[in-house]
Amino acid sequence: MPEWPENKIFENIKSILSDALEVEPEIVTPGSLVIDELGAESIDILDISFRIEKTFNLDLSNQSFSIDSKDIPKGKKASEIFTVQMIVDFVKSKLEEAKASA
Amino acid sequence: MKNRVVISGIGVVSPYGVGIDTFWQNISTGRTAAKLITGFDVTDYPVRFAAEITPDQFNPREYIENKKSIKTMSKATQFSVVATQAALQDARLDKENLNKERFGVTLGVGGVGAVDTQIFSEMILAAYSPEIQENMVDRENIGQIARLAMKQINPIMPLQILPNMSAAHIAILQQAQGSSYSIATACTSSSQAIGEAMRQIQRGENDVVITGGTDSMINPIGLMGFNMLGVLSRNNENYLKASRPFDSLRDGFMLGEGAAILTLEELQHCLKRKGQIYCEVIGYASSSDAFRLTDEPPDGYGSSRAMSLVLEDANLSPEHVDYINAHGTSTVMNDKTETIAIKKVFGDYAYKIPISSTKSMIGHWAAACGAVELITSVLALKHQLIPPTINYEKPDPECDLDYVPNRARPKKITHLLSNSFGFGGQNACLVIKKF
Repeated sequence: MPEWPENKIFENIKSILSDALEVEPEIVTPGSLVIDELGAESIDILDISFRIEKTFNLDLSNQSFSIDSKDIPKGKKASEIFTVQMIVDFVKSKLEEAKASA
Repeated sequence: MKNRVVISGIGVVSPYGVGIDTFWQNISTGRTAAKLITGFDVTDYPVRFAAEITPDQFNPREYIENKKSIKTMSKATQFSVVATQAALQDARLDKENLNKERFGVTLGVGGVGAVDTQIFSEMILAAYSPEIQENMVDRENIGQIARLAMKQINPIMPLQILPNMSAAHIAILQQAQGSSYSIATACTSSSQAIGEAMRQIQRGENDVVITGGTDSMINPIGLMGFNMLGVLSRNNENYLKASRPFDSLRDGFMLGEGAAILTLEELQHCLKRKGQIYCEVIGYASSSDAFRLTDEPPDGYGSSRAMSLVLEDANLSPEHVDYINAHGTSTVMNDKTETIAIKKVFGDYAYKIPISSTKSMIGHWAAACGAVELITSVLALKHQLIPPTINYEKPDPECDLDYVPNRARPKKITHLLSNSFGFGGQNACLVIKKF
């Protein structure tokens, strides 16, 4: 299993998002809002999950990055807090799980 | 009192390229769109030519503004979205002069035609990938194969296959919030779509309907399927002349592909906004042979009944028809039966009507053939010029009508009839009238 330093994870996710959402790579930053700023819709989230599985050799088995409703601040919508960094963190944790079980 | 319906815009993506001008320039001068297939390896295929749309003729990224949407579109959907943009631009219809809730979409679509090469290869490759081979316990168990293949295929794939996706993309991109229908009756699909769109406007349900059809069967599966049914010409050596409707040496059709889109509009709506009017759509009728899947009844009772009914719907007598754009596939059976059916309806006058099959040039667009042939008819009416049946060299005694051989013919045209018949036995006819 290859090691994935955090900056490598981010770089790969940046190119996945840029390809899947047809946005310039430069505008994808850790703080970018995936839905509200980068324009993802439901089908894109599936596409992004699929690309993540292939790129990082992960089996997400249909469990996608999701936001627990209790983590959403009052008066906010999930799309207003869902950032690229959340995807990076999700992938990081999945990679660690995979490493632990290997 | 029924509302009157006019055609106010047309758009086409064809094997001549994108746009009406290049389309008419080629059709009216009798040039074939036949090519040797380059989209995939046809080395071992018994048929190696088609009227194919090549990548240098059509690059969706050049035309579709919402780039992200392209990945969810099959080739047929890409064609239809671009042809729609062209038709709306031609009609000068936009958000400013439309009530989006009375703006609908009714399209003729293919079945497997929506599945293009890439999707199929991905599925097949996935099924044979090492991951699947290793895990596969039972080769006969299709459920197991699908479960394993699922992990290898991008989840957006099913959205490319669904037959209603062309209409859905068009509705989203154009904000057409009226009714949306997709009609799949093989080669009759788009003529029925146009007819049903006309009815929606007649009944007052919509002001404007984006209609027509799209199909892309020039892929390994489509080519294999039509070839297995024995309906394709195998004249690889002389492929430029392979499609030869009504000629005695015809041996099957040439596949074509593309999208042909028309905007049908309620007459007063169009007049009020000072839109252009190509012509009026005054008749539509449909019937079913209820006979056999791929054979037509020898006396053409189903297709002749559709022609009789469309004359009734248009309130015309046979002598009023100035030109028939035939279904004319270039198969032995269709051209013979269509000739018999025309004679049955038109009697002696059948010999006086110019009849042509533009499939001789652009091939058979399957679900989209009726739409591209209606657009051809609209242009024939506009230019008062009948496009020819090319490659007509050796008359068949059983096809003895005037097929406008090889050269376009100027003629005063007021009423025009277009025929479409499909596997399964569906027949549809449309009549348009000079405005």
